[in-house]
Amino acid sequence: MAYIELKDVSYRYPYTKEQALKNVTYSFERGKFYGIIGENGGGKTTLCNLIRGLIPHFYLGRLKGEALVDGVDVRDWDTGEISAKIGYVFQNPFTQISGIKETVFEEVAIGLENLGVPKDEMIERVINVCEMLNIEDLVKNNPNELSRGQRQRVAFASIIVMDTDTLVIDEPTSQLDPEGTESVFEIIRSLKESGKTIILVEHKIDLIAEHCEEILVMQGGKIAMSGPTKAILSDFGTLDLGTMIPATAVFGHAMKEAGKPLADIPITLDEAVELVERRGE
Amino acid sequence: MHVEFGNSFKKFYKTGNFWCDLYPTTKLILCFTVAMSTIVMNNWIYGFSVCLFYFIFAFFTGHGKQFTKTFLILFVIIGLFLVVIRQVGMRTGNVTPMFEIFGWIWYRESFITSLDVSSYMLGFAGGILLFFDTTPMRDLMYAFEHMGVSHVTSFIMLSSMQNIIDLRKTSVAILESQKSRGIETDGNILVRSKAFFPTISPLILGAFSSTEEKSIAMDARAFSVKRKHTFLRELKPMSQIEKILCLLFSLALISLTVWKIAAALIK
Amino acid sequence: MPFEYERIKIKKRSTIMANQKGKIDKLSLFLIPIGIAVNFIGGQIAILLKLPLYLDAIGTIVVAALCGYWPGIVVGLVSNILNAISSPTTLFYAPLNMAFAVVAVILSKRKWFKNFFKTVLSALFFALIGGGIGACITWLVYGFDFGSGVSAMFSIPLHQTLGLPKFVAQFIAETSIDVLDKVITVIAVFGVLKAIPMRFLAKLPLGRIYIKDAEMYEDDED
Repeated sequence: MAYIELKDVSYRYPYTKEQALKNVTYSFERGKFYGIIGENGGGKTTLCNLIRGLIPHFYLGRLKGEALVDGVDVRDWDTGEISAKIGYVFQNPFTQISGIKETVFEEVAIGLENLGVPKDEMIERVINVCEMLNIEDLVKNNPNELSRGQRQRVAFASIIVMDTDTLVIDEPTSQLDPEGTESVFEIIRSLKESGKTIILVEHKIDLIAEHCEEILVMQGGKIAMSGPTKAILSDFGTLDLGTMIPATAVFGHAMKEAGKPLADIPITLDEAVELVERRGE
Repeated sequence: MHVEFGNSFKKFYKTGNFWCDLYPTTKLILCFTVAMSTIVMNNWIYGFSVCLFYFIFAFFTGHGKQFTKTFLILFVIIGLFLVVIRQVGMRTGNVTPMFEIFGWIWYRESFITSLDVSSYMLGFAGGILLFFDTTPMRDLMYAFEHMGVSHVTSFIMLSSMQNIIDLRKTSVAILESQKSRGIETDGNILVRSKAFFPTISPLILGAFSSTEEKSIAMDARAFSVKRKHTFLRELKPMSQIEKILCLLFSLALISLTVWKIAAALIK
Repeated sequence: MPFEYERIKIKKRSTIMANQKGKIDKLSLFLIPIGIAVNFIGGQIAILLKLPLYLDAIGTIVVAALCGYWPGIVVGLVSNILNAISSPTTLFYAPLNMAFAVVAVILSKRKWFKNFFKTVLSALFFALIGGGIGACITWLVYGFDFGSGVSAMFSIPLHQTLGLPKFVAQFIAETSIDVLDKVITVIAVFGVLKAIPMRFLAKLPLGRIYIKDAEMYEDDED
């Protein structure tokens, strides 16, 4: 059975005329890594809000259709309990710092305190997560005095430590440098490998190409395209939907245009190198 | 290092000072009962003795300097000011002259009343001041949560304090940027008043706009989950002695109040 | 009969426009610390601009106007408690801040803050309450006599030269000082309420009052 099922979901924010989601139907399976791409305003964040139960409990407005998480309609989920199941990280590093703790260590532990995790277990989990995200040197610092990149990593840590089944992540690397971005993606990949379901909203298409298994392209509140990563990102048609495709795919298409096609359209650098080498033989 | 730090939370948090390490509720009750006693007694000898006690005691808690600074300011604002006001303000009832300052006669009656009033105002203030100087807000909130108060209250108090710090920084930045945009901040009172609005407005709106995301972020940390909370940073629970002390002090205050009321009624 | 009604209520799940779970809804809850901080900052900015005003109720009034009684009262009360950390005698004036919140809600519901002139007029209400309750509290706390605040500089002359009874002098002094303070306060409140984006207002209990042409969006089924 699908873990998260959306059946003909339409949604309108309060006091707006336009629908933010139009007849969206999709099934998310357990343990898969989904990428959501698309132009700004296309409905990516709204979709995340829905999965998280923020729609309709927090955002109110008009929700139609069925949105089931683990078999239960989002309308019937207790908002508190859904946060124990589905973790959520988003862009803004400033608003994700609580402001009520004086050390990074305590900041990361907030979620566990709220979930009632026993203290010894809490300490162990926080230590592990701090190591995972390279913030061990920051544990004694005041969370309110960190840099943007540091805050983002702390925010990320605070959600990962909660060990939820699913993670909805909305542009987590926008504040990070390339190295930081790379490491965050590695962490997300390892989380996926441990069986979690990941739903990632990103613009960094090359990284999406490397890590995601399935892609949804959102445009105008609808799912314009969806399918396995390779199929979506090697399709030139995706460009019309307001999003990029990997540079390697553009390269592949360009080779095709030039009359020297590769065996396939590559979407990652490794693939491209392999295809070029193969052609050389 | 981080492992060490993490493991340090396994023990109760201690500062090493006898008074400061008492349970927050204990400190609250002790300070509050002493503070209230000065109001009930309404007697300048008692009141000022208590104030003197505060000064000395503050040094035992290691917060002497900080306390003295703030308390002395209050002494001037409340104490001195009040004494002077009462001399100026009383038109009737002044019979016994005390002394003269450049032809201004100071009367006994006003003087004593003003001393009484300022002694309990300062006695009350000092007790509360001492409490807050020796008890961080997060410790107090910890104690409240253990008594069953919702963690929401805790959040409101602590978040407000952080917001004050954040907004303070932002307000200075906004004021600077408004100055550079040509908004006059020096001049007569009307000019300065006008400069207030373009400073406060973006401040408030900016703070509001981040609230939505803040509440989502806290929600993602299971803020609204209805489970029993655990605590990373713990304080040593109230000891038997502390409980007895609290009871004694509370009873003392109640008896004092009853006695004073009775005495007043009999008159 | 009652069971039928319940089922009909549940059926209308697709639309939820107003939010009132318990005493304080989620968003209002998070506005409370902001309101409290704003109360403190008002005074800070006044000092930076060398204005002799407190401006310590802006947060209370804005939050009360947008979120209702409980959030407004909490802002007023907690601001007072936090103030008491460095100046404990202000604790006695807690009812004052809470009263401002109550009045702000009443006026907000009557759409006073949507009109500039009515807003400025409201300053008079706030000042009178500030003066009235303030004078009462000062009276009680300072042993039925003048207090030691700024107001004394005005109330004593009033008492001495005009021979007004002490309480009346205190009342007039406190109210007059408060008027200017509250006029600036409410003008700031007006500006802020006007500028809040609609999608934010939509989530607040009293936000609907400040949305222009709210009815335009409230048609029923599409």
